[in-house]
Amino acid sequence: MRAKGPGQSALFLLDVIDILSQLRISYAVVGALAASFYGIVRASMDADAVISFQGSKGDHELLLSELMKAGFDATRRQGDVDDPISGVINVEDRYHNRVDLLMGIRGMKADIFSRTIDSAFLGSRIRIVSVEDFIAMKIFAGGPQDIEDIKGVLKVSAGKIDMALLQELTLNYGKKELKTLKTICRR
Amino acid sequence: MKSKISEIQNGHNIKICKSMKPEDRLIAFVNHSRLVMQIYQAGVDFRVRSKNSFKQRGLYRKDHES
Repeated sequence: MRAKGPGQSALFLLDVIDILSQLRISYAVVGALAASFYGIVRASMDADAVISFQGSKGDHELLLSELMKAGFDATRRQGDVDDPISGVINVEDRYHNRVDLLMGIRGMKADIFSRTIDSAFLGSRIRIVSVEDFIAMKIFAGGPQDIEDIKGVLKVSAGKIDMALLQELTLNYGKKELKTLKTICRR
Repeated sequence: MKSKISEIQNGHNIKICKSMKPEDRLIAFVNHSRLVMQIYQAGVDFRVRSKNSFKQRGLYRKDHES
């Protein structure tokens, strides 16, 4: 286990990723880690990733059992029918570092995993959601912090964004989201 | 709220982040999160100490928790 105390969810994420990789579960790191990778660095007490069991060795039951076998607390929550998040697995270590594994977001297409960026991170490799998928997801999430994250990315990584792809991905979430993107980009 | 000082500060943060490689920003995230957690924990410890101190002196009221 890499984390040696509280406030080290990013290190804990690496332990969780090891298990995801063993089970061949596709993942893409999102949340504050991705926001920092593409934009303005900010702190977070948890780490988030979206996952897919498509083409993996098992399902959420196997993942939960492997996480618990590794000594972590793992619980699964199923989203309601109208919830944009279909489900989440919350994983915690003994220091209360937390990783949230999101099992699908409404409007998010499976090809998100084919666009992830492989990056070195503390002696390991992690796959981070593409900048276009990140912005599109954040627009869909729509909270004040999400909008701040987008603004940070647009200021730091503007030259690395495929605008046509970003518009296409944002439209997957809805027309309202595409309108929001255009408004943010105009500012 | 619109603040010239805040805008300058933000501009400074953007400049620093732009000068870093994405991989370096991940490390900055790790360090920043760790520090924020330490500050948070210091606050928790302080509140516990204050509560105990008030209790010992018979000055503790329930509204001290808020």
